[in-house]
Amino acid sequence: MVLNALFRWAFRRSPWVGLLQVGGCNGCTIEVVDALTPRFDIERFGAVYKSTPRHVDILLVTGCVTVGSVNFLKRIYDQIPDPKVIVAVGTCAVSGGIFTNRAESASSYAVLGGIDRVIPVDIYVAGCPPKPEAIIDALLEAAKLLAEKRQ
Amino acid sequence: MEQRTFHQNIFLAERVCGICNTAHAICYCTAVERLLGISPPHRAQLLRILLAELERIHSHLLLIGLVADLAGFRTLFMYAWKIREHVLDAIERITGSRRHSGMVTIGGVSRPVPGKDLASARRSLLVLAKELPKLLSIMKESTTLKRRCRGVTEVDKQTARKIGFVGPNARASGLKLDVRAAEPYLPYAELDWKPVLGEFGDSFERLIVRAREAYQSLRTALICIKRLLSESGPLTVEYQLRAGEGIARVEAPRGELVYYLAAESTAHPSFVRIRTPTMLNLSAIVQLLPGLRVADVPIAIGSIDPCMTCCDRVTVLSAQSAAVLARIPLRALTTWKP
Amino acid sequence: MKLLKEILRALTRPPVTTQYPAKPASLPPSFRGPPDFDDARCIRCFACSSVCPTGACYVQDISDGERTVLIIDYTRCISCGRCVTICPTDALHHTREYSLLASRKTLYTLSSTEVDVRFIRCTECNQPITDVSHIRFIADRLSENLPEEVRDRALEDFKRFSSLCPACRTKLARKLGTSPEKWC
Repeated sequence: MVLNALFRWAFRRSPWVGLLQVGGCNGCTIEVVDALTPRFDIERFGAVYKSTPRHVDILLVTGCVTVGSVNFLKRIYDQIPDPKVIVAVGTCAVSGGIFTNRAESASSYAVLGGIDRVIPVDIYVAGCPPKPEAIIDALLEAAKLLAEKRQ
Repeated sequence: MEQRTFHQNIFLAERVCGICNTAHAICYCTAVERLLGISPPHRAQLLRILLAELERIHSHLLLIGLVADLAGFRTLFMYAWKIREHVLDAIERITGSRRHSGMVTIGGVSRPVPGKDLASARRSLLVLAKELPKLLSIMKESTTLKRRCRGVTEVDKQTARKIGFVGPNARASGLKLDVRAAEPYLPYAELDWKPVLGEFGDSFERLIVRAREAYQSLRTALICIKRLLSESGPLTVEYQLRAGEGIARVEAPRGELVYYLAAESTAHPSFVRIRTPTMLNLSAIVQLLPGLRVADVPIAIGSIDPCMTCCDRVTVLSAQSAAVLARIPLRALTTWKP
Repeated sequence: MKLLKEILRALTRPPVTTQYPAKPASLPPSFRGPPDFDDARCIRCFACSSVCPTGACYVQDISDGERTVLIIDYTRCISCGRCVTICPTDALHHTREYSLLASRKTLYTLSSTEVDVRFIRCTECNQPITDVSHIRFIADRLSENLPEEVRDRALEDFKRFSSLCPACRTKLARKLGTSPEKWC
């Protein structure tokens, strides 16, 4: 019981964060990396940036899913150990953004859309690109969700 | 791009790359303007120069930080990105958003910039003007960077021309390749601008050339702001859409960017081709990799500033089911003969 | 040596980091968040939905056809500002929202802002024509810009023609002999 509470506290106060870009323009990726730099420091919330999916708890996914990246998105999703939280960062990751269009005639053969077509997403952050403050908000929500999932 | 109208494509062109987005927008709009036979008014050209140079500063500082991180010098990564925030503040003040300004449009610039926004941007740039020389001197005397980057993929002038480097990579080898000098698409000459050249052509020199170019872009941006504050004028010209073809090349932060477009009707372009500089730089550096030590490979690839998102990739898709049939690796493209 | 000096200097100065969740983010005056409608000014001309590059602004029937709305979907909006620029009555403005979060359950509330569209229908054939506010806007513009001699007569004709859909209008014009075909 005490151990459980300890783990929940640890997940809430020290989430390990990873970044994956599956398509799109790179703008949201640079805003996420901006969140690591001194002005918007996420390390003050206890978050650590890790480059391998097997170590992370929260995965920030940017970019819209393209035909070429469906397979590796699924593979990396499977490699993250439970409990995990997936955050879709940016309008392209939420819905495909400018690379898709509601009009059928303006869609592309290579772009599938938002990442929730391939993997289940827990938190969505829209914006093109979302400000690092919005990404910090998402991270704090994700840490709370992670602690809840630990139960 | 062939399914959207000319104006909607400006935003799609901007989002081809998240780091050099103004360069893509300026190139697309210049290509359409050449198709239509118009040219934007002077104030709009000055605003375009301002946005392009601010973006160049942010892109070069991004790369310096990234290569420092790859070399293990995490402190310099944080320092470079810390001072990069001042440029992003200036861009946000002028255009309303840190990235993807949406200000460049066909025929000029779409939103006016009031004087107090320019003055506030100038204040952020003056703070940066004090910090940037410090960054340059830290880089020049840093033992870590020198020992990791000096001598890695040293490229002299003839080899640089032969393998096809563009942008600051070519200029670091002493090759005077700059679209702003060769084919001026915007009035850089009246803003006291000259291309920055280096000597040794190794990874360290590429970083130093980028830092010096960032400083020069800062000077150009400040002169531009002074001009803009004292002049006024129209921001766009009238035009009629028509069919035709247009080609434009601009100097993106990574090198020479080319847009070609052809339109058979005024509804939408029929064919758009984008040639990004990273394609040339990557295929050039891939030829220099054999023989390097494993630890030098990230420095070599990182120092040419690869923007993987605005690089061409060749994937063969099936026409019926859009399933991936094959991916052609970059190495095959460098030795491809038609 | 220089880096050491910088580090010591940074230690003596206040930290560069924003105090974000504790204090709100500082936004410039020209910040472009996603747009919002001003219901009173919107004339439902749908110009915004035709220029939107991502298809975020569109007209849709909801609640099983009971309501028709002009909606801006924030999950697709890229805040480019074309709708704001093109609106003829300045009914759209950029909000200062920068934190657009949703969880899986609340995603469909992340969209949007919407205005109701109340179509008036043709008195002859019952086809929908356009919204009430659009007709009112055109009538106001006509009465501002027409010269006095013809104003009242023109507004009477306008009232008659504007209650018909374009097809029925053409039929009426042919019947009255005012259709332009006779001059072709």
